Amino acid sequence: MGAYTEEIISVINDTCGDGTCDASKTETPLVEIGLDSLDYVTVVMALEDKYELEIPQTSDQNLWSIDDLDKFLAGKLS
Amino acid sequence: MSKSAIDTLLTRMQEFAERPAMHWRGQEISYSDLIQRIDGWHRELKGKSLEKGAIIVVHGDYSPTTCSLIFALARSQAIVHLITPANTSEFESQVSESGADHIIRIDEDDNWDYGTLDTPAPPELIQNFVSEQQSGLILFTSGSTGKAKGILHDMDRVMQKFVLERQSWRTVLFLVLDHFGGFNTLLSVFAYGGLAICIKSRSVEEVCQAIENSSADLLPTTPTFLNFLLGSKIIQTSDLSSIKRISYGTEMMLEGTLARLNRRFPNATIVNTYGLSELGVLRTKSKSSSSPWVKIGGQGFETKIIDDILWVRSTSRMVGYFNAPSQFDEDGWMSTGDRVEVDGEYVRFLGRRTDIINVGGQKVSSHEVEEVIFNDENVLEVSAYGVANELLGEVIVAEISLKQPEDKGVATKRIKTLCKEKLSRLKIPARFKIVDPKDQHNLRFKKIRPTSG
Repeated sequence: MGAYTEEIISVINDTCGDGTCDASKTETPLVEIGLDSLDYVTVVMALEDKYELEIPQTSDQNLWSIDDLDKFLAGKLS
Repeated sequence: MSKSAIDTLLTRMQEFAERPAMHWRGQEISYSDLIQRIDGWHRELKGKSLEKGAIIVVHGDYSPTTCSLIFALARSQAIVHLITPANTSEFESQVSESGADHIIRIDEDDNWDYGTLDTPAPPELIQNFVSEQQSGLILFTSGSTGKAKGILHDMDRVMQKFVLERQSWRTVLFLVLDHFGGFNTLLSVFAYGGLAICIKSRSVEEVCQAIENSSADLLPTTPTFLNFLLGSKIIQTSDLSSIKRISYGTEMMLEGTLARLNRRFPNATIVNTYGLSELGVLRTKSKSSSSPWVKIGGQGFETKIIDDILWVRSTSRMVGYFNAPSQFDEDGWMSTGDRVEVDGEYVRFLGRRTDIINVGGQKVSSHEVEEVIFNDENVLEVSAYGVANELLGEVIVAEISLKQPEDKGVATKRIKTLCKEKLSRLKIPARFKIVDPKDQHNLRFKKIRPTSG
C-alpha cells in the first residue's frame, strides 16, 4: 500500500459516501469503481486542496486509479 | 379534421408491431407490447379521471412504464410534468410552481403508485391552457436570474416535428428525461420505429455495456461524457463498433476532444446538435465530423444573428414561461444568448454571456448556489463562480467569508452539508474556499449580508 493510499481512500469515502472504496480496489480506475465524472473531479480537487498542489485532469491520459494518484503524490511530495 | 401529431405517432407505433421498442434491464419490449401498455394506462387514467386538463407529475426515469404513461397522458390530453429521481431535491419547488395536483411515481423496478398533491392553484398561463383541454408538457430549466424557469409546451406542437418519417436508430437514452433534449430523443426513437436503450447509470462502464449488449448505433450525449469515455480504460476492451452516429450538445466541445473522437470512431458521423428547451431541437448539419461549424435550422425553425447573438423563431416554441416574463418579441423571435461566429451558411458557437456555470452539460445558476450558502448564519459574503475544467467543462467554486472567526474545516463541512440538503448534486460546489473578505474574488457575483447599526 502506498504512502498516501489511506488518505486517498478517506477522501473518496468522504466525498462519495462511506464504503465507496477500500484497499482492495487500488488498481482499478476510479470511474470504474462507481465514481462518476463529478465525483472524480471533486475527489481530485479535494486532494489538490489538501496537499496544495495541482493534479492533472486532462482527457489525454487514462483516468486514474488510487495507485496512480498515490504515485503522483509521492512524486510531488517526497 | 386533420389528425393530431399524437394520434399520427401512436398509429405509426402500432404499425411497427413486433419490432423491438425498448431494452430495459435485460428485457426486450416490442412496439405491440408498448401499445398495449399505453392502452392499459389510458383505461387506468380514465378510471381516475386523469384526462383533459389534469396536471400530473410523472416521477420516474426511462422505463416501459414511464414511457407508455407519457404517451397515454398525451393521448388523454392531460398535462405532463416530468421530474426524474435525480432531481428529487427540486420536487417541492417545482410542483408548488406548476400546481400539479396528481403524481404517478415509478420506481427503479418499474412499479408505480398514484397519489394526489396539495399544491397552490396553477399559475395563469397553465390555467388558461387547462381550459383549452389540450395535451401539455411541463419542464424546468435554469434561468439566468437565479430562479429555475418553468416551461409549458403544447405537446402536440412538440410532436409535430416527428410526423415526417425519418431514419430509425438504436439509441442509448443518455440525456435526462426531464430536460428537453432527453424528451426530444425519446420521441425521435419511437416516432421512427427505433430502439430505446435504457441505462441504469451514466457511467462509462454502463454505457459501453449497453452499446455492446444492444448493438446501439446512436449515442446522443455531452462533451463531458465523451471526454470520460475517451480517457477510460474500458473503451479499449469494449466493442463499440455498432456506433454509427454520435451527437453532442448542451456545452462547448473542445477541438482536441473532437479530433480524438474522430480517431476512435472513424466510421461514425459526429454531429453537433443544438436546441433550447423553449424552442425545441433544431436540425443541424456539421461541415464535417471533425468540424465545430454547423448549419442549423430545419423545418419549422428560422434563425437570424444580431450583434453576434443567435435568435430563433420556431413553430414548436413553448406556450410560455409560467414563472418568468416572456422571452419572445412581438414577432415570435427569441434571443438564445449564444454567441456565434458566422462563415457563409455555417455558424460556430463561442459560448454564452450569462451568469450560468455549465457543469458537465447542465446549466447551473451561480445565484442559486449563493442563495443556498447564504442561508448559513455565519456566512458574511459568498461568490459562486465557474472555473474551467477539462473533464467537466466547468466546475463550481464557492468563495465564502465568515461573520465570526471559525475553524475553516468545521465551517466548510457545515456549509457542504447544507448544500447537499438543498441542491442537486451538480449544483454543489466542487471546492469551498473560506477567505478573508478583502480577498474575495469576482465582485460581480457577490452576496453581502447587511450589517446592523
